[in-house]
Amino acid sequence: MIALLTFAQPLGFAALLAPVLFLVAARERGKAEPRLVGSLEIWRRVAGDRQEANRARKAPLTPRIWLMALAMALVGFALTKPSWTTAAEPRIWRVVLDTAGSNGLPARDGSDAGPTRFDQAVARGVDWSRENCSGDQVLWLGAQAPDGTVVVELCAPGARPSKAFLDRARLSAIPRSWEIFDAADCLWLPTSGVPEPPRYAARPSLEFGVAPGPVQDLGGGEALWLDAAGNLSSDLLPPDLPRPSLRLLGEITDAGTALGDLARIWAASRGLAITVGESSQPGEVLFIRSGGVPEQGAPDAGATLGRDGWRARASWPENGELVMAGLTWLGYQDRPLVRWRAGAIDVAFHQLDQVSGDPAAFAVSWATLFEQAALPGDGIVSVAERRAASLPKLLRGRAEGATEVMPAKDTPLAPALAILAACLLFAITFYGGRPTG
Amino acid sequence: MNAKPSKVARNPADRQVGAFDLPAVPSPRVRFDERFPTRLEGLEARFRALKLRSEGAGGARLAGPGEEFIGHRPFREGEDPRNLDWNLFARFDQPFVRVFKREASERWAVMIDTSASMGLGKPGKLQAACEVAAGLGAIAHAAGARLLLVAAGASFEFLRRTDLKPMLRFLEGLVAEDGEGLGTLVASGSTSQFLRDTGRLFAIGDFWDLDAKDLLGLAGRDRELFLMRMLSPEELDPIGYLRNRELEWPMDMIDVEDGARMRIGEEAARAYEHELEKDLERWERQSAGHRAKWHLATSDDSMEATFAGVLGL
Repeated sequence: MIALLTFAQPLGFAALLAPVLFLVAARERGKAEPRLVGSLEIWRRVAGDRQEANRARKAPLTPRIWLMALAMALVGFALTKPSWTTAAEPRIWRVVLDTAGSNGLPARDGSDAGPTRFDQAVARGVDWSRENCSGDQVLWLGAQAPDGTVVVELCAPGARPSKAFLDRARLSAIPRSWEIFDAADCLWLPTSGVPEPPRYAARPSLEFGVAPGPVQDLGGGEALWLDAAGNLSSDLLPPDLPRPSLRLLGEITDAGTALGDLARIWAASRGLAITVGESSQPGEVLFIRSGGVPEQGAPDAGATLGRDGWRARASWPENGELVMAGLTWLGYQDRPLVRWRAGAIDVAFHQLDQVSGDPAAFAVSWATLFEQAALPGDGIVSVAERRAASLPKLLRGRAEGATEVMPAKDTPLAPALAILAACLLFAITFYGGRPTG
Repeated sequence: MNAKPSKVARNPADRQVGAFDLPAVPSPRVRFDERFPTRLEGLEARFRALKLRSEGAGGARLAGPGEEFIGHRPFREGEDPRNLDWNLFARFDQPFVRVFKREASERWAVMIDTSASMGLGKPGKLQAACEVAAGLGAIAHAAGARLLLVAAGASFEFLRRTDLKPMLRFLEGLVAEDGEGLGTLVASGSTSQFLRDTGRLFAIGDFWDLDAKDLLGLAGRDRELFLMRMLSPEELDPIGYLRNRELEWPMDMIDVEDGARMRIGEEAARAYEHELEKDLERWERQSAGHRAKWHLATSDDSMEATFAGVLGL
């Protein structure tokens, strides 16, 4: 909780000049406090030098004067209508950017915010944070290609994130998982369809319309296209797009190995080029990396793995697991052997024996994984993303409903100040003795 | 002889000296309330009672020369030794003074200070002085004497009881104004006219514009002089007076007569009180030296209290 002193009428502070002027006047008043006397003869006789000494002296400020000034100050302070406001701590709101390829699709109206859906979504998020996050902070969340690494930037309400952050975030091509951000302090900025509307998060109205273009690579330079009317048809890929490719790294993906041969067959069926090595290429839709040479003395595991009867040998460093991001597709004794994420597959084992079981089952199993992990490729955006980015309804979310946010509580102080001032004046009047003069 | 007040009361707020406005004095005028004549009757009654008790045995201090001899009483310290009956002193080896019945023709005179400074105090010093003067009128009537009231530029003679109300009106016509003090009256030389037949002379005022010798010179072989100095409480005890009113030093002291101003601190005020005390002692000492009666009163003293101090009433 944070307690703040707020003032409904800040101009009332001008009234605080009154007690200051009063004190100055009271100080100066001593110079002009006149007393009539019948004769100054004796005064002259006795004053002498004392008169000069007294000339520069100012009247002392008595407790009575101080109390009166205090009462005036209290009244002046009350005129500002102060109130004691208790509110929740400043919060960090989360603005969640889409990570799908629809980020780069052109917006229908192409307003000043920018030509793409991503630009307009960001602009809408900036407006929303300005209107709803006053006094708090805003954490922008995105994910960058090719591996979906989360990128964040903390901004003030109404501030646009930096260009470097937006450039990284707009390049991702991985479907966003929105559900994990369905919280009262979140704002969704989807540029593609969202399966379910949020229960708690806010979502602004965004209407992009259909973005015609290729939705699936058919191989051989052909693709399936979505036109402006929403119809699908086969046509050639745009000639300026790079050819989609599969990149392989590691011994077990070499030609002549079971996995390498399978990957090449799958690539050929998809019309993908094969690249080998660590450097990524434009248009790369999948990167398969095998575990490489085991370290000396590392524990070695060999077992019949999977449901297809094939055997593999894997080794793990002493100090922990292999650095593998993504979802585990295959594991051994609580240790991951194969993990995948959009655009990449990491394989921990360094030796894959010949398949002893059904070769077709082996091929289907791995090909399914390849399809699951493969990116659509540059310029290829799914039908759902090209069609669905039309969110005309503003969902405010519960953050603005304030059921989870403690409402600010105002305690007006002006009446108490006025009563205190009145008590002071009463005390001055009652105990102040006889009137002056 | 009755004389109407020659002074026309004007607004005291219009006081000026030269081109400068002077501050208005707080109590420049005199007003007698409806109970005041009753108070005068009470004072007269007390004087008659005292006179009856003292005749032949003790002395009203107002008894004196120029009267029909009615007896003797013991001599009291401070009395004029000329009243001693030396024959009795030689016979009984104790001092006795002769007591006389007042002659109807004896005249008393009261000089009233009406300077601006007499308007100070609440009630004003002039108010208190005029009440005492009216009381002297009542006592003079009881004593069978004529009373002449003299203020600057005006006079009134109180001869008979019917003159009581006109006397009060005369006194109510007096105003504390600039340049109308006893000093002016004495310096004008007009006192010689009415002093000729005056057996007792009363001077009532604050005496700020006088030296003691100016007044004491009015005492004569056949004339008793009573000096009744009237000061306001603030003049007599400025520190205590201002402390009671929660006023802080320093103060700008303004002379009501000429508008002169002085900044006075509390230290100087203490010195003033000391100096004033010495000044009053000197007046008293000099008065005794001239066989004049001296009395110091404050403007908030009642008339009765003043007469109790002066005459023992």
